Amino acid sequence: MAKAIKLSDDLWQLLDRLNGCERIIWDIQLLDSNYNINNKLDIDVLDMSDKSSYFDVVVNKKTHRIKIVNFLETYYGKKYSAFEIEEFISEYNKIIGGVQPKNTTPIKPRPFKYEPLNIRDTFISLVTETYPMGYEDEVVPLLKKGLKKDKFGNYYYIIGNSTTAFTSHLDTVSRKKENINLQSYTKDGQEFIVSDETTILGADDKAGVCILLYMIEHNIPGVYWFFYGEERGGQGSARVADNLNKYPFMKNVNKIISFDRRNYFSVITSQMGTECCSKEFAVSLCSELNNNGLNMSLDPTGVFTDSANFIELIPECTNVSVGYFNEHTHNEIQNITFLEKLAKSCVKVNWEKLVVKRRVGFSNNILLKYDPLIKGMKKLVFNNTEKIMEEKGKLVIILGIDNPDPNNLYDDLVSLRSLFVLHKLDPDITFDNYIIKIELN
Amino acid sequence: MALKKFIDILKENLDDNNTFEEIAYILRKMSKTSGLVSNIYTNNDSLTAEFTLVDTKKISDLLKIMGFVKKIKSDILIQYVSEIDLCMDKDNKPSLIVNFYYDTDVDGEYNEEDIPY
Repeated sequence: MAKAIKLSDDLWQLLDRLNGCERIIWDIQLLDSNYNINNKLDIDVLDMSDKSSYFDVVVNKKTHRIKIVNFLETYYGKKYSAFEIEEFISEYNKIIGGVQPKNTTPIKPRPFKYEPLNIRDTFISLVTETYPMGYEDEVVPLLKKGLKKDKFGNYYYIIGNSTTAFTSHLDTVSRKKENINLQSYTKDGQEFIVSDETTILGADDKAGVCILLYMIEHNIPGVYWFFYGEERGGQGSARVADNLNKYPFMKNVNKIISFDRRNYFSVITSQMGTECCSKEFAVSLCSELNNNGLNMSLDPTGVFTDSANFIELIPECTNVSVGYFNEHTHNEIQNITFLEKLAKSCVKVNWEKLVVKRRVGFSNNILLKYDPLIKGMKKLVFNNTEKIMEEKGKLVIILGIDNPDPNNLYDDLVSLRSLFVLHKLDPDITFDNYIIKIELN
Repeated sequence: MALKKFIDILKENLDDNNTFEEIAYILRKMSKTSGLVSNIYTNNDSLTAEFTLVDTKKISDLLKIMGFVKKIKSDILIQYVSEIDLCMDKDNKPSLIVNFYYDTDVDGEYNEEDIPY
């Protein structure tokens, strides 16, 4: 007789606490001690993990980690939509990352002193208040002196003549300017910083800002960007991407690395539903970071950050985990111990030697077929973020829904339809995580 | 001032679940009349409309849905903020989900035009 899966008590309790995602919760609960389930992976015990987006499983007395998305696909095929799975994982992560012991200690920020090598104090100084889009200039006195400001409101700093650009963003997701009451707690020897749950924390993306300041202080060659308006659709970086030829120091840049990803383990390989960097590049970056004490792996589940705005222009665009969780919520958490470890690792990476494989631009085949369409697309003005690129021999058009106004999406769709009508095309569309994707063979 | 008054009246009315449910009912009827496949429901003070592209997956189909959403937003749920989500449903059909919820910032705490860019 086949083995039945036993759900751990911890997982039962966690499932009881999850909001929404009823179908997945119900199905997982039905697994418990059920001999009618085809136990494809021969799992003895299914347990919650301390790693986000993973379950722990016991197979033949050995504990392994399995990505939740892989587990669901193995046992349920394509039963759930991407949205359901994303929602389930997000709720799951909130609980495993968000269980705070009650013995948090209030943090009283010290008077500000610019000390970027002290990650903890730098982080604290940057998250004492929220900075909604429009207030980014108020962060600047807390950053390195001598940052340059472009005509759009982005700040940057250049070291050497490098092929690498690094990005973070100065704005926070909140709409209101608020003070943040900081608290700290320790778990498994690691320090976590949180707000008092009446506001966001703003680790998204002051964690990234800390990493960039630390690298600048170590004189690591690169172009360092501190963008405005990432939380409002990546507005600052979009302006730079649209005017890239006006930034001569970006001419030789062949890789752009954002530090703006939750968790501890992601080197993002896909954003806006498309490949943003080559596997070879991601593997080489993981290898460099992991040689210096981290545990990064390729993660194709990225949605959007500033580096996504350069996908058509710069060969390798990625986003790296900085150890925050529950971003955009009042339960946002930053693992400061991880952030310190990441900073130390980043200054040891040989950024110039990373493998660059991905190509930007279009092949002759695509140009032969679609050159007028590509040119037509580039002439159009969209309210939402649009991309046109070649992927695996196909022309791919993406419309990212970063503007929630239905009028704007409607107008963008009218523009797209007019373009297709003009070129006598009527392609199918697919949806994925806030994007509309159209592929032309 | 007149706008504020209107918002207050709207708020007051929408606190009444029956009224809000009535709006959902009207929208369901409107959607059906427009030939859209939808699931429209309320949850406390938000309204969710899920649309699925059943037979074809063309831009013109999506435009039809967005035309409907645009109308809801401009004529019925004027003071509501909308959020759009896109996904493929379990049958691999494109599904568009629009959430309408009351805009707490509508009385001036936040104004896009205040942004100095």
